[in-house]
Formats: sequence, C-alpha cells, structure tokens
Amino acid sequence: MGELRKCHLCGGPAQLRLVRTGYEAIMHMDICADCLQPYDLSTADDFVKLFELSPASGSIFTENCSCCGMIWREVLNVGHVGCGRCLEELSSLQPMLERCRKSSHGAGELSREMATQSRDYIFNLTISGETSWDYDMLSLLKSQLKRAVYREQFEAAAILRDRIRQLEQKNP
Amino acid sequence: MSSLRDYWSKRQFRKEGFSGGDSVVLRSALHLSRNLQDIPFPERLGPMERKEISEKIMARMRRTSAFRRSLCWKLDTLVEEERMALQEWGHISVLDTASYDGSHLLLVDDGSASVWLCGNHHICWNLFWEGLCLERLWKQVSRWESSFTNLKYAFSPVFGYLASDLGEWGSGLCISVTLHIPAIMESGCYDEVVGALQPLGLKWCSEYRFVSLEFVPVVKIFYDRSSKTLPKEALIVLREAILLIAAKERDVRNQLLEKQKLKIWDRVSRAWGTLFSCQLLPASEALYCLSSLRLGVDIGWCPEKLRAIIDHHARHLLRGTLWLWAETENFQSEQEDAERARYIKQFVTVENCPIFS
Repeated sequence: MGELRKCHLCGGPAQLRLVRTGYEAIMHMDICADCLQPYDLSTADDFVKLFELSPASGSIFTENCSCCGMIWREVLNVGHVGCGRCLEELSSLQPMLERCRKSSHGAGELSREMATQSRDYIFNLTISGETSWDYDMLSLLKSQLKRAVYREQFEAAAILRDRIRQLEQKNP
Repeated sequence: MSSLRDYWSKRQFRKEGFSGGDSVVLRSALHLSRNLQDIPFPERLGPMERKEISEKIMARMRRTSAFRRSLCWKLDTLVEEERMALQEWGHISVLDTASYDGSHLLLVDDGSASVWLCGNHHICWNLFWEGLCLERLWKQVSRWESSFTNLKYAFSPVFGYLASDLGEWGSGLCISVTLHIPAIMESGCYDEVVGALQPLGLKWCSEYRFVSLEFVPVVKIFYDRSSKTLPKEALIVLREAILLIAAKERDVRNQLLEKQKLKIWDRVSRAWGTLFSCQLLPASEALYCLSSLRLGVDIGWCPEKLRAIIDHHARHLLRGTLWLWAETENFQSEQEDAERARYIKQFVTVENCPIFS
C-alpha cells in the first residue's frame, strides 16, 4: 500500500498529483478534486497560480538570498546566480544543480590516484619526430579512456573507445 | 595615468625582436577567474560598487612584485579603439559597454600579465608568454591566487569555483596555446587532427575570428572554463596534445616540401612581394601574407630574424592596435588599410627578401 497523499491546500486526501518541471527542477503538488475545481488547468497562468498557493512550492518561490537578494524564480528565469551564498541560502538550488551536473569533479586538486596516473602517463609517453602520430594519439586516448572510466564519465568514455577502435583498425 | 598610446609605444620598444623561436607554437595563454565569497557577483553590482571592489583588488595586486611596476586604466574612460586593442592583446573580453563601468585593468609593464574585474568574475588574471610554457604560467598565477590570504573565494566542494553563469562553474581556468599550422591546413589532414582532439575535451578556433582558418592557419587550442577537466590534468593533456600536433605539422611540412616545393616557394615569394609593394592592405590579407612568410622562415628561405618580427607585429596589424600606432584619430576603412601598409613596410625590407635554395 502506498502512502496516503494529503492535499497541499486543505489537508484532505489528495486524488491528483500535479508535476511542474523547469530547468531540471521537478516540483510536485498533491491536490484534492474540491480544491482543484475553481482552476482551469488548460492555461499556464492558472497552473502557476495553483503552485504558488501551495505552501510546499511557495517556500521555494519566495526564498531569497540575504547577500545579493536573488530569488529562486530569478535563478530559473535568468540561469544565473547572484553570489557565492546563493547555493546555501536557496535550499532547493543545490540538489537541482547537482542533478544537472551529475558530477562532483571540476575543481580543486587531483586525487592521489589520479596524480599517480598523470605522472606515469607523462613518463611513459615519448614525443619525438620519429614516432608516428597515430601511435602517440592512441596512447593519449587510452590514458584518457582510463580516466574517463575512473571518473564515471561514460559518455566521454564511449567516444574515446570508438576513436581508439578507429585508430587501431587503421593501424592493426 | 599615461595614455594607452604612450604605453604601447614604450612597450613596442622594449619587446622588439622577442620570440619563442618555435616554428609551430606561437604563444601560451592562461586566464584564471575567481569570485569573492559574501559579495554579489559583478553582474549584480552597480557601477559604484564595482568600482570600489575593483579598486581594492587592484591596490592589493599592486603589492605583489610582478604588478609593482604596472599601469592601471579605468575601462569606462577608454575610447572604443583602445578597448579593442586590449581585446586584441587578450587582456579583456568582449562585453557590452555598460559592463565595463567601474572596472579597472592593471597591466604589467611588458604586457605579459594583467588583472581586471570582468562581467562574470571579481578577479580575472591573464598571463601570456611566447612558446609552450603552461606549467610556468600556472605556477605564477597560483602564487597570485594564494596571495589573497584573508579573502575567501566563492567555492563549493561539489561545483568548484562559482560564477554568476552556471556554465562557468568549475576550475575557473582557461588555458590555450596558439599554433601556426600551414602544412596541416594545406595537406588537408586538419579534420584528422581536430577529430583526435575532440575526445580529449579540447576545443579549437581560429585565433583571428574574422578570417577563416583555411586562409590564415593560426589556430588556438584550448580548455575553457566550462570543461570539467581538473587544472593539473588539463595542463598535462593540453601540453601533450600540442607536442603531438607540432610533431605532426613538422612531418607534414617535410612531406609537402618534397612534393610541392615550387608551389610553396610561389606562395612565400608572392607574400613577400605583396607586403613589400602594397599601398592598401586589409587585415586578413596582411595576416595571410605574414603566415606565408613565416613558413618561408621555417623552411630556411627567409632570414631567421624575420620570425621574431612577424611574431611580434602580427597582432599589431589589427584595427585597435593599429589605431594606437597611427597618428590620426580619423580611422575610416581605407585609411586603416593605408596605415597598415605603411606599418608593415617598416620591417619588410630588401634584406628580408626570400632566397630560393
């Protein structure tokens, strides 16, 4: 048995769940038939009004950053944040962006394992006028493939794998 | 505060004849951006607030040894051509005029480094040097970054260094290397080269955006701020990729010389002839001719000293820098081409004439 949903407006049993998506943020609102009756959901305006009435989604819309004054809706509309504090102050922003990025990499120092890989990679790769372009590029790509797999970047890994196959077929 | 024109003419004298000396790699560039915690990003600031923060940052940077002998300009007081010149040298990016309000640019004496408050970041350091020297630039910029000891940068352990534009979250680092690859373009293996760069997350574009790569084969290969690559990893991968491309370019040049020696000779000597005798010279044609002449130097047909001259002056042929050099304020299209021809004749002389061997 699933959990009984309560109407966000009156607290009674909800029969319907409305879902609003935007910039990867998914908000839902449970509502009963009685509360829904005055609204015509065929227009976007009514739909937005209804969400603003809901205490759950209303808190997201009215949150503002104490440092720069940016509100959640503005972040969604403009696609920009106002200051470094916005992430902490607008509570729903970080989970939404985490879903967008799906990666915790991108800054700071290399992990110890990756640093070792990089160092090995430099020492192993020889560059000279005599070595063939394809051979060198192959070793560079293979090293990148290992890193992509390590970092769970599977889309990038697939591109690298295809490129390696192409080169290997060219020079068996 | 001296004018940008004065600064340029002095710098011109100091840097004359300096070059990395490499036949393929022209220069390395590094841009590192940071925002300060607890202060709204520049986009949310008014001109006065921006000016206040910008002045504080510049004052602090002037305490570092590298910027002790530097010059400071208020970007909103510069005329359009002066800003254009700074863009051509890579010190500022293209913004709408209002975004320059209250921003300052601090430029070191030899023009190799600068710092400014840009539209997206409170601090943006720029560093340039001839040849391939990414690690050296990174060490230098890391020192400056860590000199702001009692300031906190806007940083998230999940997303990295923050900026107003979500797409720029990450390392805040943009590194690029500019290459001269006439043989790769001529031989038609350019697609193979860029195809190999794509999986590495590297990007490329023509160094001179207004002209196609086929015409002026000067390409910029870079990791931009949106790439998710870690700084140290980016430096390693970019360096290795550049060395591979340079090796490839040299191989292809040798092959081309064996197969199409006369065609290349024709290109080099025509370029010299055009530069020597022109009266009106558009920017794209000037860059094409200089590229051909540089190829002549690499092959050994033109004197070696011409390489340093070409590397030094190529950027000065663009509109903004040329305006600084020209004594006229009236810079219509024909006037610009005439000034460019006059400028180039200073160093394309009979002694630099190519000799076929």
